[in-house]
Amino acid sequence: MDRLRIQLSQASGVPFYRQIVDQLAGLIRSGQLLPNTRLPSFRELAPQLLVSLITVRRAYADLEAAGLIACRHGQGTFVAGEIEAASRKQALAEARALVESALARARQLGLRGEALRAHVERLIEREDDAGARTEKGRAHGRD
Amino acid sequence: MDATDLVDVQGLVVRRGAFRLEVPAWRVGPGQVVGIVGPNGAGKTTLLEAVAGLRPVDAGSVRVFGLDPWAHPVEVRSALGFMSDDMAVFDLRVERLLRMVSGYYPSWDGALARELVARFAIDTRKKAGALSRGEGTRLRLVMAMAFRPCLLVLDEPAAALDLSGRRRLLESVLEVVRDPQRSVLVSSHVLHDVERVADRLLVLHAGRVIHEGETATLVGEDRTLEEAIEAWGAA
Amino acid sequence: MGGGVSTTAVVPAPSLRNDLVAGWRHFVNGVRMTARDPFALGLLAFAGAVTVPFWGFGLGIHPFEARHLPWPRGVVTFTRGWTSTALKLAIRFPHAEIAFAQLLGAALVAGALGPSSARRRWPAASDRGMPALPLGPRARVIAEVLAVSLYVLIARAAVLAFGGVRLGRTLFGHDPRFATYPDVAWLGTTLLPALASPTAAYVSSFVVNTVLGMLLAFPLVLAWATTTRLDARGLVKLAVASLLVFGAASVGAMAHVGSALLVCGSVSAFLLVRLDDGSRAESVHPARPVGFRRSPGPLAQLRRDAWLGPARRLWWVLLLAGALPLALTLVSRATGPDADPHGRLVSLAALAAFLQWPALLLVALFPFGLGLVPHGTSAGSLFSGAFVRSWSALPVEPRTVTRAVYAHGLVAAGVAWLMLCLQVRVLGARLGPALYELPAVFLMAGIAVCEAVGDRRRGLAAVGALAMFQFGLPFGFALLPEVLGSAVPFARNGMPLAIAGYAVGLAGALPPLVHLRGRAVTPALQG
Repeated sequence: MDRLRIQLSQASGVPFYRQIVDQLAGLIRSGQLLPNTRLPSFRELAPQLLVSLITVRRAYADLEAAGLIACRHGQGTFVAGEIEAASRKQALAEARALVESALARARQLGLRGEALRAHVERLIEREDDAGARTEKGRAHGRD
Repeated sequence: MDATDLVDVQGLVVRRGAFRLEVPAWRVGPGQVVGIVGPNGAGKTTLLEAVAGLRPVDAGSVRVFGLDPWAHPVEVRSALGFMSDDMAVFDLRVERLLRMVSGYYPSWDGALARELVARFAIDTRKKAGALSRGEGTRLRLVMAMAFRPCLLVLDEPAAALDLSGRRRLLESVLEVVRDPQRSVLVSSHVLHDVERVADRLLVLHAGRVIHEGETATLVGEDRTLEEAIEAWGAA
Repeated sequence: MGGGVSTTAVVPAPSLRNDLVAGWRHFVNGVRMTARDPFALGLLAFAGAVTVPFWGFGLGIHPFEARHLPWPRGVVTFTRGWTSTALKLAIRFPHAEIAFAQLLGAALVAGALGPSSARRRWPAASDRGMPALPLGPRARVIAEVLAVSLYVLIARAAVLAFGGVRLGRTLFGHDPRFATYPDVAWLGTTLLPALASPTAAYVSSFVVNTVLGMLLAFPLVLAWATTTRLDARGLVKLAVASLLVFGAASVGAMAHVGSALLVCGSVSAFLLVRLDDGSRAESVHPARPVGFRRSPGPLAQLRRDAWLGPARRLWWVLLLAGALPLALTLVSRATGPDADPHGRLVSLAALAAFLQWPALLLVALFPFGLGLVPHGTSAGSLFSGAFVRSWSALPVEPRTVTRAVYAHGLVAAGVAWLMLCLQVRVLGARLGPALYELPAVFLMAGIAVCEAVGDRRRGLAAVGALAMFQFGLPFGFALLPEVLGSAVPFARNGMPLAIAGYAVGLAGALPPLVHLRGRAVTPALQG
């Protein structure tokens, strides 16, 4: 098992467990860690990354909750066999959370109610139009 | 007291001249890294010396592996590795010193000792009294770790180490707790190292315990340990 | 200067005057610091007073006739005990024991350098405190030695002045033929013409004992002070300096002020030229693979180290200081007077036996084969308890270590004493003086324990008792009849001396036993 390519930064302000989750999730989603690859146990990973056991344990717990990894009793920790569904599920959850926080912040700043709805609808239309135009362009290109 | 607790402190009072350390209750279970932090003179060294059986207590009790370390130094110190950067060692050549010390620990692991000596880059030909401060600290670390103690007690190990030395120290500490039966107590001023590797914290100030618990819970996610300590007024 | 104006430090131009001023300042500082340390003061007063009879003899100046004594004719000293035992045998080396005692006296004085040159925490580098003072190392060590020598001078002057009238007759002779020392004759004729003869002689001898004695002692103290490490190199330098000084004295070079100044100056220069400040490159040993040993359990290992350690690490000492002199003695006994008409072999054997006693005694200070005193310790920080503290992380009880130290001290010193008795027997002398030495065995063991545990008071008391027992009492008993006059029929036999000696020995050897009993919080654990 090679060492995982995870770089932690103390100055970034992001908690260590969060950095581990993000980087491992990135490795898994991008395909650099194949499904059913064995991951180091949290006792093995802690001295590699120079973080406490609790940190690694928490990161693994979050990744497992997101469905990206699976702890098989007695055998170790593995990258989940089916990432697509789990990954998509997690990505959607993340997207929803982003929208929620953006809306909440916009409301805080004074954009609310009708003005907010109008703005959001305009944005969605613009996205759809852009998407339709690219579709047309692709169809054109095929002709 | 939980039967598996490595250290159990109850109602501890230690007096040193005008200074008084009070720890009402503190437990250390296996498989943990516990960081002991606080300003100079807070009592960290006193507490660790009491745990290692180097200092008698004036009231209360300290139990390590279920035994009183002051009354049973032989049994307790056979599985407790203590390190302090200014503790006295025999003025022999390093290789002789390690050879001499190895005879006192049935659990001494020669391969591990050699690996630690290489990892910490200690020149075994030098005399222990002629080592620089950093080398002396690293030597004492090796002596404390090489016999695979159940409990490793480190008093300011990072004080004299440079960057690579500190990294190797953290690596070694975390490797100790790969065995879920072993624990490490570390007191240090290098707070960002402590918050990285410590599962639990014990915060002392002027002989009193200010906080005790899991690092993440005590410190929180939006501030560093240094900021937390300043907020608690323990700076 | 006042008014609260602060100025930045200025770089002075390099000049000899600055060096001298800096040296003078350091000298004054050393005097002041020594005055505040009672241990150092006591040590210096003791060294000064106890060596009062010595300096004159060491200079090769006959006390009665105030003229130079040629080598090898010796002077009868007023000694008792082991020195007289060896003296009876060392018929060809009359100055040996005096030289030895003087060297020890110089060591004591150098030991009092503690306060003005405090020890650093990491003795790897120089053990002189604050090496960054704006002072050259040579000027520094000269200033420090002069500072402590000043106190010795004061002590000696006090003893000679107050006790001199009584002791004067003994030490300086009351023979009307008493000649005024030639080099200071002008003092008597020019400055003190009206003084009666004994007083003039007394004054001249006083001057001899203080001024010339200082010229003799200064290089010796300097030699001890500049030896930062008692290893081969340091000891060789010490030995060479001592041989030069005493060699000069034996040919009479120290009997005249001019030549004494020359000898003192040149030996001091030799010592200072390559001043060893302790920061020497470590000798390169070949790197051996680190080997470890199987542990039979901590207590068993401790016992094994206690018994075998000294033999393993100090076998060369036991060979050189134990077997060699004994072999010499046996050989000298075996060869008849025809093979050795001048008795040189006998004297050599006697000298070896003389040196063997203190050498083997010192083995008591190396329990487990390890030195009790860490490198770079100055006398001010003796009895630090570093030895037991070195064991603090190991799984052994401190009480076990202390008991092992005491047992080793007893065995080592006991073997040394048995060897002394054997030597005296084989060489055919009286056993009495050797029997007198028995309390030294217990005193050494007690000193070893105090050093190991860090008990300064009892340790110093034991050292004082040893000095009293070894030097003070024999000299006192020798001089007392002279001082008190024949009115008191003080028998010169050994019984009163033996009783006093054993009493003093007991007083010094009993208190350290308290450490063997239990486990108090040693004072060394504070801080």
